[in-house]
Amino acid sequence: MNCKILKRKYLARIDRMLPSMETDEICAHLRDCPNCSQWASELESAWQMLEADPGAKPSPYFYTRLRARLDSETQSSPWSVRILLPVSATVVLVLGILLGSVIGTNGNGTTALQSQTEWIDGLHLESFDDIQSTSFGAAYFQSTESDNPTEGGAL
Amino acid sequence: MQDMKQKQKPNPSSTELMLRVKQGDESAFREIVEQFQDDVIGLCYRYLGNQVDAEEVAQEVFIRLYQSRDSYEPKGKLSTFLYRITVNQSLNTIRNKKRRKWFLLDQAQSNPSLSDPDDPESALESREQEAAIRKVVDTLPKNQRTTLILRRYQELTYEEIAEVMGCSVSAVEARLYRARQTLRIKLKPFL
Repeated sequence: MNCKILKRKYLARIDRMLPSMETDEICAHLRDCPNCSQWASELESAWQMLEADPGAKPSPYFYTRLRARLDSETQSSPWSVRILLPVSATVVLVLGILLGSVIGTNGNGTTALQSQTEWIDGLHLESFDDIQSTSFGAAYFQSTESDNPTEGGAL
Repeated sequence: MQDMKQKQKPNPSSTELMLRVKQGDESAFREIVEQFQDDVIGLCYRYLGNQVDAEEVAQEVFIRLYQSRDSYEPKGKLSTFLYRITVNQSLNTIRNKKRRKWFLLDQAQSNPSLSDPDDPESALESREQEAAIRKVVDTLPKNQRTTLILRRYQELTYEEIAEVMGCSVSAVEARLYRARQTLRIKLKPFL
């Protein structure tokens, strides 16, 4: 066994994964090779040093805290907040628009503007057509036309 | 170590427990937590360096396990699945928080029991050595560090490490070899 093979196989020895025959070969090489012997000693010591770090153990109420966190995450249901809230807001908006259009339409299917026109027609405003151009009535209508030319024109 | 050796054997009970959790048995989930909490917290601690962060990440690991109960299929070992989540979650935490607590002060705060009031000099020496070990382990490349931690502290076999990390056994051996070489060189002053 040469030094290169030893260094590769020595790791398996540390992990106790080497057959006993090969272990014997390694031991024989280490006896004869001071460099490999020192290398192996350092490697094993460094590996053993890791054991000095004691690590961590769970605190006594670990499960209790975990359960509380799990319950709070289940109750808050973030996906429902993220998805259901905008969906419900959209539904309310659409319903509002539909309701507004229904309110703005009477039972015969005519719009509010058509109803207003019919109401104005019912006033029989044509009776004012005969008013003299120099009368107070004509002056009044002229003044209303100048205030609101669109509505005045319709009359 | 004894617990770990028991877990290395095929453990049908943890699979059975997980199937019970899937069916809505809350007590089975508690049994799983109690069975694996030492290993999960211990593994988190190796990455994060303090008890508080380790327990926080361990909680996230078990929450993820609980949330995935409906899709659980008893294909592989539950311990392998848990180790994989734990490693990923720990590495994500380190990356996201950019927080490393391998320093002597943090170590003293998180593990005050390490201080030996009868022999403060040797206690200080011991803590310096632990801090040095942590620093060396922390500076290893991610894959080497994970391989080393799973082998040294969790005592997984090469095959199990390969399964957790999703790589070949020869890759595990190579990473372990490099990690040990680095340890040997950097810890030489303490040998």
